[in-house]
Amino acid sequence: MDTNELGQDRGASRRRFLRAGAAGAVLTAAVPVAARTAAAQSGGSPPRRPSRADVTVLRFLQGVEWAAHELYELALAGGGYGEDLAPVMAAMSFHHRSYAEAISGMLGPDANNVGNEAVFGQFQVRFSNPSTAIDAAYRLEDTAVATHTEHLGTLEGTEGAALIASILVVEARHATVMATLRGVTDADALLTTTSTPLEVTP
Amino acid sequence: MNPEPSLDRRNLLRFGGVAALGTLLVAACGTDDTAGTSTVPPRLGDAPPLGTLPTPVIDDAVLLRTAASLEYTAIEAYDLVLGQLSGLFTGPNAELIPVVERLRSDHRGHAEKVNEALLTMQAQPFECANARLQAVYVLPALELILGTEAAVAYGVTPVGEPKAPSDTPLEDVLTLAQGLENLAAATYQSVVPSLSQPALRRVAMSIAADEARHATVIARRLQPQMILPNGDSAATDAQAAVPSTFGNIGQIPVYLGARNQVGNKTVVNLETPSLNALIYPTTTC
Repeated sequence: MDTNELGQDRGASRRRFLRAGAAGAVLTAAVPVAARTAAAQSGGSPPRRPSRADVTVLRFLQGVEWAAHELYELALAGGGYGEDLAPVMAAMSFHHRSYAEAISGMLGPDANNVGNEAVFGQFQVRFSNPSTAIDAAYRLEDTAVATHTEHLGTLEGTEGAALIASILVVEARHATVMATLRGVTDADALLTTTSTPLEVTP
Repeated sequence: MNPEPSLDRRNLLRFGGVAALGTLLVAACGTDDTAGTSTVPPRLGDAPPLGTLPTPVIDDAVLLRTAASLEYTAIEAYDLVLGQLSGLFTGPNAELIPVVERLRSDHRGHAEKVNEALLTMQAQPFECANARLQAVYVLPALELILGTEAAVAYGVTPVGEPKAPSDTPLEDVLTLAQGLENLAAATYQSVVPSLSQPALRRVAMSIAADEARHATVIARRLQPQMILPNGDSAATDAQAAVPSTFGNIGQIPVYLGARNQVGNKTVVNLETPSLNALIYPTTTC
């Protein structure tokens, strides 16, 4: 008996079996996605998971969060905030890192996990100086709220939308706290989002 | 001695018991003629047939009408604060009046924004407070702050022991306001996954951001030194300007009223509207 031949046959069968199984799994996964998309297009329930377009937006928003975390770390590294302010700056840094990581969890392998260079560059100088950092932090937080709110309105998947909602509602608090810390009493600055949203860049 | 056999009390009870058992036995052995033929319970007299409750459909319109009702709940609460309770804002606290006026004005703007969205989607706007939230949160909170005797004048129906007025009424009014603002922010956040249109989610969260800022401004007034929860007490942690890393949509504890023997206030847990607090198409003002 030619055991080699038998072995090759068995190997071929296993490959065919695995190939068929993989194709079946892909089809099984594709059907609900197609159904959800169809439902969304026909005005039915929106999809839960991020669409391809959502992934681009979420990657951008994640870059904003990483940049915010890096800016607070830059400020803390320079020192000069005292016992009252340093824990607040550290908490803000932690919050933005948590947001970036949560978006990373949502995106999986599609996540970039790097800070947005344009955002970092825009605020870097003012975050490096304790006398301007609080004002810069207010503007950064307000910009983040404006940006997240704007792009939330484009997200098709409800899970991504819910995550961004849970982030921006706290960033609005950050912005007001920073405004109060820099002594603002103007109601508009305290209570409304005045910044222009950032545009999504790849 | 009684020579004649008589039906004394003991025998009467014995015969009564035997008769009742016999009746039960006969009933148990008999056949149920109606079994399987009718599910209608027997009844006396003529009563109208029982109706069936409509199955609630929770769609974008219901969620937005509920949001509008929450805005009017806040407007009415601030009306009360600026009206009958304005006596609390004396001396240095008078500077709070423009802040409260601004918050009320913002809520009017939010209500208009939500109702405009409803009109755009050809749904009925809603222009009054949420009766359920008033009954379970606002009125009991008022009773805790003002005491039962004074609160009756505001429509409070006393339940349980009469309550003494709070020894810190202004602080409590601000705490309640902060709680209602947090509730509004949490409500908008909580409906995001349920809203079918991304554009409506943007409207909801632009308002939620404003509500969160309102709560933060009040928090900075209540606890100027506490931006983050410090774990000292649940009551003060609930008043932190930034109470959590992510937006919380769970219970919002609000501590109000006269202190008890151990120095604690009563906690009222606010929750985002659920099925019996939603504003359905059939709900009217």
